[in-house]
Amino acid sequence: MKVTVDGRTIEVPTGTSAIDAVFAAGLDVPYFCSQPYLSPIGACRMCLVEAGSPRKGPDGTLILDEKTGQPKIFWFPKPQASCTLMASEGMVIVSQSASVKKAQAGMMEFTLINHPLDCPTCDKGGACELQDRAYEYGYGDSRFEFDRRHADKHYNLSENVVLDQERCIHCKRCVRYFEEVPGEEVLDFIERGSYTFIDSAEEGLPSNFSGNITDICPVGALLDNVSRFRGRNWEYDHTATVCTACSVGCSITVDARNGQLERIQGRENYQVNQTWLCDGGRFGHTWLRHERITTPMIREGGTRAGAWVPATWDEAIRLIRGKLGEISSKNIGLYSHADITLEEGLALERFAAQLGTDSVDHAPRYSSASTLVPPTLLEVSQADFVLVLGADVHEEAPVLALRLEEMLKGGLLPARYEHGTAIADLRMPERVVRQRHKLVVFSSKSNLLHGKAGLAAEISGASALHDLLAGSAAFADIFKSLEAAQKPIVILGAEVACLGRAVLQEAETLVQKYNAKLLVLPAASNSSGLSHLQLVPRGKGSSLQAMQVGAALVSRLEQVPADFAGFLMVHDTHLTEAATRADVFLPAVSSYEKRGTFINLEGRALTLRGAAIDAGESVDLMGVIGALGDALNLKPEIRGVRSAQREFQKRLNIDLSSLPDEGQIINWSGTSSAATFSAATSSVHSSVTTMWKPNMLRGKNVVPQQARELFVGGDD
Amino acid sequence: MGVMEIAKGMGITLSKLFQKPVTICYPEQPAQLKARFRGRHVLTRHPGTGLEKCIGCSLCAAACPAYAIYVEAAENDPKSPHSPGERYASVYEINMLRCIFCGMCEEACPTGAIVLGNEFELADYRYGDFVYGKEDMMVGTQGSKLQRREARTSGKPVVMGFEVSVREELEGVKYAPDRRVSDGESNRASNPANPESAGRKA
Ligand code: SF4
Ligand code: SF4
Ligand code: SF4
Ligand code: FES
Repeated sequence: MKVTVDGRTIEVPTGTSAIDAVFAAGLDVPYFCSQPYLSPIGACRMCLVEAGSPRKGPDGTLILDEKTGQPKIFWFPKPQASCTLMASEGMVIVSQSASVKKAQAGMMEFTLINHPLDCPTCDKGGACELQDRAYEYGYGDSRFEFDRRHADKHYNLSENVVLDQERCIHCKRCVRYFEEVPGEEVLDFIERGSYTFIDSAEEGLPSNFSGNITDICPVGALLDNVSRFRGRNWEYDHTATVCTACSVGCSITVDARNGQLERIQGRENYQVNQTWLCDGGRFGHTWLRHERITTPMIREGGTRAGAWVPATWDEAIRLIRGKLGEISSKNIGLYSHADITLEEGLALERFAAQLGTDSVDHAPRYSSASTLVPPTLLEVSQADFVLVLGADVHEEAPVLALRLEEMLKGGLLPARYEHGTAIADLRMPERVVRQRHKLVVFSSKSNLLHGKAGLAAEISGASALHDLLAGSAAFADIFKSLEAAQKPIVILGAEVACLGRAVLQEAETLVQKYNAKLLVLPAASNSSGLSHLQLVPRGKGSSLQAMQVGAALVSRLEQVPADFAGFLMVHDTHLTEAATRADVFLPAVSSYEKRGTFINLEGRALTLRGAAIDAGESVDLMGVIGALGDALNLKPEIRGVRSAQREFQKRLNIDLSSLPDEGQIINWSGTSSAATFSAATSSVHSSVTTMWKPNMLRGKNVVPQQARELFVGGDD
Repeated sequence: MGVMEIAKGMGITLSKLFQKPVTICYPEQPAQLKARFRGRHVLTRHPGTGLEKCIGCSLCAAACPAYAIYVEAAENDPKSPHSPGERYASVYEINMLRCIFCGMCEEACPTGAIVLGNEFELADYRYGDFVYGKEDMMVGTQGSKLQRREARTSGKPVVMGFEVSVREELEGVKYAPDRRVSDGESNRASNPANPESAGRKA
């Protein structure tokens, strides 16, 4: 379809909105209410352009201009909102004329009538769409001199979101967001005309995804309360990285100031999180700054009863050398949390091999992994039937719940153009009726997803799976849907996945029978990557659960078995329960400070970049392995991100140092370790450790007791 | 060079001998400053309410070409606010060693809070003492950190080495004209939160 924008004729696909046509032509239109992942509604009227199109006469041919002999353009009598105007064949759009500029500036003047203009106190200042557009498109002055509308100054909508009604420009993004994305109607407009204000009838924001409105509000009406007044937008060091709080791997921007993490914002990744984050990932970073330990520590008097005293790395290494000298290197256990990067995992694997120890483990993890290729998140949103067994998706992989919501809406995704995701995709309607029959959820406890499903029951995922395989008559409807579906997906949560190989086998049989895809929600953020490395005990090796070793390195795990009596080196950011029993404390960097690669639940490799956070003398796991190597006079094979990435280049034939922004799905089939993994593992570890630090989200543990117990219980 | 030229030059020298000198005997005599002389900054207060004008917006820090200013903001307690509105500067520091006294901060400030005053006797011994905090610049505090330290140990008032007619923007600032200036001590008494800088390690 050919469209002419300010004299430039361009080719755009059918269904393109006029605003996207203008952007495709390389020109700019100001806009406030359109948002790529929300339905366009034309609320702000800022995107005015002049437009006209040719018309056909009664004889079916285009009406021609008498003078030029060209098709005659019939202009709309007034400027049009380009976001809700569908471009049509031969349409002529004028976005840069004097009259368009005047219309836009006039509109800006209206928008600013009631805006308090308190930019200096507003946290949005410097990154505010209204500020930028007013500067670029406004008159810089106003002819309206009457009193501005006043509302009570800011108040907290919830613990994490603060609302300032005076600043709202009624773009309705937040209202549409709640209805369309998490599917929870929480906010709405109250009153009419210029008295309209945004509010919620409920106490707080009953949503796991409320923080996203602070990203999309084009003004400072809805703001992040956690980072309130912590810095101006231009003062932050922005680092584009990936959230490792769960296995989805949402793209985030980490904002630090003066070496301290202050704010996390969503970043676009069309494939993974679009632009959304869960509240845990966005607001739950404050645990890091409180009582963090950033120097090595040793015990006063050298006994475990002694008080902690700060030490240098040299002192710590000397102490370790003394202790480990008495122990055979085969008797050293290496244990880590499962949120380490792929590079750290490889360093751990190689170092264990060098030591000759079989006692290496990571947690949390399941005893066995599926070898089937998981569906991508986009495939989840495009699925026509999803069966969820034993998962609390909102807790285990929150943003996956948004993809399921999208699936219920019919899986419509905004188009992508060269200039990026469509700003206004007119195929995305408001208030879509959810196709609830496409979702079936079975889990032993009711959760948020139950309310969205066509069929949901509080039965354990495993027994449901068993009955499904047995062809139980009670499930006749499900069988019918599975058979009819073209792209069915089965999602297994912790409740089922922790039961071991036999149950996983059942699930694999089920999906193969219906040609479905199987998504097993990983136990921790990088579980799906680490499962391809040799990071489980082999032979007589001791698991985390047993820890029958003379000395152990425990990296960021909160507990060790009560009967462990050996030499304990704890690598962590905080003095955890495990650290209280340690002999040496080695400071750890958090995932926000690491460089490396992380594999999410779809098997997508995503790049972590270190934010400018002051971590003192903290090191990552590779650093600790280097220190252990020093103590033992061993030179670790993998000593840095680079050498690890070179090794992966060999193993996977992929360059992890230059992954695309959206990440890349990794094909592990060529590697031998996947199969070995399932064979070599015998039991689930029982160490209670979850992906969330207990003090995440301001003292609240966001992982339900249920999920925590699952990591503890269960055996093959 | 001829004799005439030498005589001419000597003549100029001789004639100057009998004129009133333009130099002054600083510091025994006060320097006469022009009102727009740019010296050490003053953080002003609203005249009626006495609230701080600064709202902690950091625009001065953004405008400063020397990166001399550091601001940290916090939320006002509505019951006892520091400034009108929701936001105030909980930390406000200017590094006088970095500052080039250009006045850009004053120009950028939306509330007229930070104003360049006239004090110029800022010499001190340690690097750390050149970082002026909020209390060191708040209107009412006079003298450099060193001057105030000396005044405190000697028990004498801060002595300023200049005279100036204070311009309007320096709301509430009075540099005592007779050099027997009211000291920084009395202001400190009314403000217990003043961080003691004299003992600080550089
Ligand atoms: S609060 Fe923000 S996002 Fe919501 S309508 Fe107002 S301006 Fe738009
Ligand atoms: S006077 Fe100039 S250099 Fe000094 S603090 Fe202000 S803006 Fe910075
Ligand atoms: S002095 Fe002025 S510009 Fe600087 S932070 Fe305070 S109000 Fe903002
Ligand atoms: S009317 Fe708001 S972007 Fe078009």
